[in-house]
Amino acid sequence: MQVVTRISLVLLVLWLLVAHVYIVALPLGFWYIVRFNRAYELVLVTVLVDGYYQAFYTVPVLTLSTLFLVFFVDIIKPQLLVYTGHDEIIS
Amino acid sequence: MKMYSSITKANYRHSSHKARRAWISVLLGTVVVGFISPWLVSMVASVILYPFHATTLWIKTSEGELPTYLRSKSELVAEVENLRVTAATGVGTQLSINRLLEENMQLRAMAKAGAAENRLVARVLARPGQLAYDVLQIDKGTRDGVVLGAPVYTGLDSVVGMVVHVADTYAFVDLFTSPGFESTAFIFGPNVFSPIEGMGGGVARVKLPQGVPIREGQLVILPGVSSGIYGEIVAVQNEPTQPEQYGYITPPLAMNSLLYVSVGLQSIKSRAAEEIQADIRTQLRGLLQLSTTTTTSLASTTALLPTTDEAEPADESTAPNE
Repeated sequence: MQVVTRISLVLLVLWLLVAHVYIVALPLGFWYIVRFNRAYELVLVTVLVDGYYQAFYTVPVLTLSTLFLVFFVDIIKPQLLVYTGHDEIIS
Repeated sequence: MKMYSSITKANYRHSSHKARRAWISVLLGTVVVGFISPWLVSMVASVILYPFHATTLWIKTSEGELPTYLRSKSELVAEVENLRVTAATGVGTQLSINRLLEENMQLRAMAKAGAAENRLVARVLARPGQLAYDVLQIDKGTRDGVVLGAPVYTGLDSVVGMVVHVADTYAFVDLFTSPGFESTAFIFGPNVFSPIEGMGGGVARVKLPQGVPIREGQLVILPGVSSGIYGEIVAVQNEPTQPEQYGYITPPLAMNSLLYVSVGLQSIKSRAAEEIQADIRTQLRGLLQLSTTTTTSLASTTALLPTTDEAEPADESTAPNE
């Protein structure tokens, strides 16, 4: 179920980026990175978008910022988990 | 049993790390390929993203019901935003027009006053708050005909100070409210002359003996300046135990509101009585002294006339004949 959700969301973000609806796409992408573990697929999406708009001829800002965010959240997220007495994890 | 062992915690972690490494390798490889050959990434992206692009284009340009509905809504939102911008710009434009009208009226009033009394209009560059001293700086100087001691007006006839320093392109105006300024003022109402002194901060005061009926709102003029209304009394300090009372005066316009002033072309700088008397004496001497021509003609006339010694023998010669 989570896979379906992730694929749907990734496609939605991709379409919003292509349609220049950044006001929705960027917060949604950020939420996606924070909500799901290891959102590496989002980096591929941004590589495609940057490639589509030929940003690799200069500086692919979207790709680099997403790459940084994904790895940053990947590193920082375990530090923010709280373990309860019943071995439950609350993020 | 084998199945159970394959999903132990250790195995899960091991496979998880492997998957992570694989992802990182793919991502970094993709990014590196993008930097090395951007055309390749662009080509692949254009193929993959074509359906997305087509969908976007369909929504933006199609005449179908759904795209039309979505578009009309977004267009209406955009139109509302445009109208808001237009309304805001309109308000700004109206403000600009009002400001220009007000400025035009001020300039016209000053030009009218200037035509009557031969003045020129100057813009105030700096005010007492921006300068180290209680003076105004105006953008007209000797090139424009400003002279030392020229009166400076706001509006038609409200005099605020006089020029104390003139450069080529600017001048400094000493305010009548500057500390240390002293002159004589005439107060309408009690109709008395009174010494006026500057207090600073846009305030001057007149000093009168007790019993002279001064009230707030009475006009004060400086008789030394033609049509020079200075301001009106805004406060009266009257303590019965003191021999004097004070009336505080402010100009009609605050110094920070001054944008344009008009400058008279004639100096009103007062001169000492001794200097004036010396001038008058010099002029009188000039009038009474005979010119060189008059002296020469008088001398020649005197030479032609017979002297008293020559005339006496003639009288004597005629006497014996008689």
